[in-house]
Amino acid sequence: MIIAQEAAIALLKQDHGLNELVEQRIADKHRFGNGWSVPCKAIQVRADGGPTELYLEVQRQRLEIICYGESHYEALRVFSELQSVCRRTVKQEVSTWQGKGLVYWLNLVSAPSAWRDEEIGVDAILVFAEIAVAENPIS
Amino acid sequence: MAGNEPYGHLVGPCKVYIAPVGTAVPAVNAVPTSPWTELGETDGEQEVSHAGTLTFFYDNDHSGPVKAVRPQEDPEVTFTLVNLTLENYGAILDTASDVTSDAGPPATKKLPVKRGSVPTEYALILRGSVLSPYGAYPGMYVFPRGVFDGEPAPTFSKDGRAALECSFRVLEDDNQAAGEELGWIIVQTA
Repeated sequence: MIIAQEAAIALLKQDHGLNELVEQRIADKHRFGNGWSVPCKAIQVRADGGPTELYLEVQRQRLEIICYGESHYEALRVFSELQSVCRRTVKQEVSTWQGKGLVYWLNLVSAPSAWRDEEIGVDAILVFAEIAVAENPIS
Repeated sequence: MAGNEPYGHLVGPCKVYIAPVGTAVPAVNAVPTSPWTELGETDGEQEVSHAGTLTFFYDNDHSGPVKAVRPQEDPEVTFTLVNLTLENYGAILDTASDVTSDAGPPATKKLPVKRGSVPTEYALILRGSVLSPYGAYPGMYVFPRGVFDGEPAPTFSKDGRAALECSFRVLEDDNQAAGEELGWIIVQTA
């Protein structure tokens, strides 16, 4: 089964512009202090509940996405690239551990919130999104 | 679930193109070019309606219907246009060629509000970059002849956005192949 959170991370990682901006720092848990310098641009994608599909073999998942940056301005640059990816994404294939997945959409469902992770001392932009992914790998 | 069935779920909005009736239809994998004109951004859902209610016939020998016919069918495309350049606005009201320009100063464009008694006919394409149910390929609805119906009423407010609710009513085009007089759907498969 294709995991929606993994598909979301794979989708963001295969976008050249976003991946270049964050220098491949896109993960399910941030790695500040464990490989990521403080501060730097990065994205953390975490599953956050959301709706379920009762009848279709489609995974729908709400996502909490944190865009990190050296400042709020830099974090907003990351968010801006993320927003572009969301606008472009319609039926896009992604590579996951379970095989090739099909992302139907990745939509932002909230406006950005400026925030600072005091524990690690990095400015961030918090936003929520929703993804829909075919549950089974495509051939 | 078969491997390629996920593609059968169609998602994503389409782009709307119009052209004079009789304009050659572009290949499904080619973005329409002049004289096809892309109307600007639309907001919300776009809908293709296959209206055409059946009439059922009964006789004295049966309690259920014995025959059904479709006396009328009325395909319709509806969408909400928010890119209100006068050319787009004019195309929906009647025709973009109604727009006139004046070098000024100040430079101006003007669109008469009167729509006239005979609406301008257009061909219309509703094209989605991944509208194919057979893969990540484009697809499009092609309607060779029709008119913009309805009574659009753009509303202006502080917290809203003026928009034209567009209703494209398809007309029969006898110059098309049999069965395609009211348009067709074409999608790329490979």
